[in-house]
Amino acid sequence: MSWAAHDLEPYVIQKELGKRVAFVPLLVGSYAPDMMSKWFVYGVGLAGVELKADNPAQFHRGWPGVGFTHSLAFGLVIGLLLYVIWRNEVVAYSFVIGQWAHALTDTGDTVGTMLLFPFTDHLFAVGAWAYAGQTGRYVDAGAYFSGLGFVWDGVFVVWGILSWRILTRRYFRETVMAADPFWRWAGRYVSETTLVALYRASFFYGAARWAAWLVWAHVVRSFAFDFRWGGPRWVPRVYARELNAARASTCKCPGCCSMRPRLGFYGIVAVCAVAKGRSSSIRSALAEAPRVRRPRLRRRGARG
Amino acid sequence: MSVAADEEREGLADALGDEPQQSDDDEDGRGTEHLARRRDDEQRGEAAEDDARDREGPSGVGAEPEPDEERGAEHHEPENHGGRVGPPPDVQDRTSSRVHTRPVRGDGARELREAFAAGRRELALYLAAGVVYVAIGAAVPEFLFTWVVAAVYLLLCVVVLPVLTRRLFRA
Repeated sequence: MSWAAHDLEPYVIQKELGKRVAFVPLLVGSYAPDMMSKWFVYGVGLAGVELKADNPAQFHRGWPGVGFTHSLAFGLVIGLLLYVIWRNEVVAYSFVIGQWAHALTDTGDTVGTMLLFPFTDHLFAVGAWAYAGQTGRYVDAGAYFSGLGFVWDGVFVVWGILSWRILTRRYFRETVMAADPFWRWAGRYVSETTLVALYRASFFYGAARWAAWLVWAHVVRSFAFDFRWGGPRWVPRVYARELNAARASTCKCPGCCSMRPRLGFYGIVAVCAVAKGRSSSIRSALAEAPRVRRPRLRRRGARG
Repeated sequence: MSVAADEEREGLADALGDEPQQSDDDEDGRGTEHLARRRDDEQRGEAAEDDARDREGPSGVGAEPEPDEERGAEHHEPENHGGRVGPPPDVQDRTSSRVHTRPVRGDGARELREAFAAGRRELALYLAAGVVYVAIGAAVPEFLFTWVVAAVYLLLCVVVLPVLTRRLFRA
C-alpha cells in the first residue's frame, strides 16, 4: 500500500496528459480501490465492538475479499458504468487511468494486487516494501516510512513539486476546468478561490501527510530505517506467495490451483454468450428479411 | 451572508491570484514588451468573446464573475468542451491568436519568477497551512487519517481565515 502516492499520482498524470483527462474522475479512480476497505483492514471500534478483518491482507488484496477493487478489470467495469451514466468518455477513461495507477502502484509492496482478476486471483507483487496492514495503522505507518515505500512516495512529492505549474490558478482555469465538467458545475455555486483550494487539496494532503508521518515515525517515535528490498525487516510482513500458496492449499478446485482452467471457463462463458447473441440475431434477421427465391440449379446428371 | 459571497465582493480571489500577467512590468524590458503585446491581443480576444457571449448568453461557469478577473477566451477552448460548453467554432478562429501569445515554455525561470512574485502571498498562506498541518499531524496522527479533514482544514486556512481577517480589520 502507498500512503501518499495515491494522492499525488493524479497531479503527475494531469501534468502529462493535460486536457485529455478530467481531474476529479482521475482522483476518484486513484482513491477508489481503498475507499471502502481500508477501515476494515486497520479495524474500527463501534460501540465497544471492534470491527476488523480476520486476515487483513487477504481481505484487502485477495479473493475472497475486496482485492478485486485492485484489479484492472474493476477500473474498466466502473469506467464503463460511468460512461453509461454520463456518456462522457473523458470521465470514463480518466477514472480508469486513476484506478490503474493505484492498482499498479500497490504491486510495489510484498502482497501486491490481483491485477488480472477475474481471470486469475494470483497476486502480482514487486515486493519492494513490506505490507504490514495487519499490524494496525501506526505500526504500518512506522514501517512504511522506514523502508522503500516512503522513497517511492517521495518520488511523487518531488515530481509534483517540480510540476508546480499544474497547481497554479492559471493552469486550473485553462486546463483543469476546461476538461472536467465537475469544476464547471461547481463553479456555479462557489468562488474560484474555493475551487482552486479544493483542486489543490489532494496535493496538499499527500505532500503534508508524507512529511508529517515521516516526522512522526522518526522524530516523535524512533522507528529504524531499513532500505533493504522488502523491508523494513523488523516488521512482521505478509508476502504474496503466502497468500497464493494458502489459497492453492485450502481450495483444491482447478480455478484456485492454476490460471488456465479459469481462463478456459471464462472463455467458454464468453463463447456461449456470443453464440447465443449471434443465434438470436440470425433468427431475427431471418424472420425480418424478405424471402428471396433462388432459382434451383439443375443438375445435368440428375435427369439422365 | 456566506463566506463565498463575501469573498466575491471583496475580490479576494484577485488579491490572492497567482497570474503571471499581474506581476510587475518593470522587471525587465522584454517582459514589458511581451505583456504590452499580450494585452493588445487580449483586448481583441475579449472583444471577440463579448460578441460570443452576447450571442449565446451566460455560460454558467462562475455565475458570479469576479469583476477584475481575466476570464479570457483562452479559458474557453472549445476543443476541450466536447462541443457542449464554450464559444461556437467561429469564435475559436478569432480567439486562437491568443494561444500564440503565451510565454514560451523554455523561459521557465522568468515564468517561475513572475508567478512567484504575483502569488507569493497565496504561496505563503499554503506553506504556513502546510507547516501547521505537519506539526499538528506529527503530534496527533489521527489528524492525518482522512482526506476530508485535510480538505476542510485547507479551506479554513486559505479561504475562510483570510476573509474573516479582512472583515475584522475593516471593522
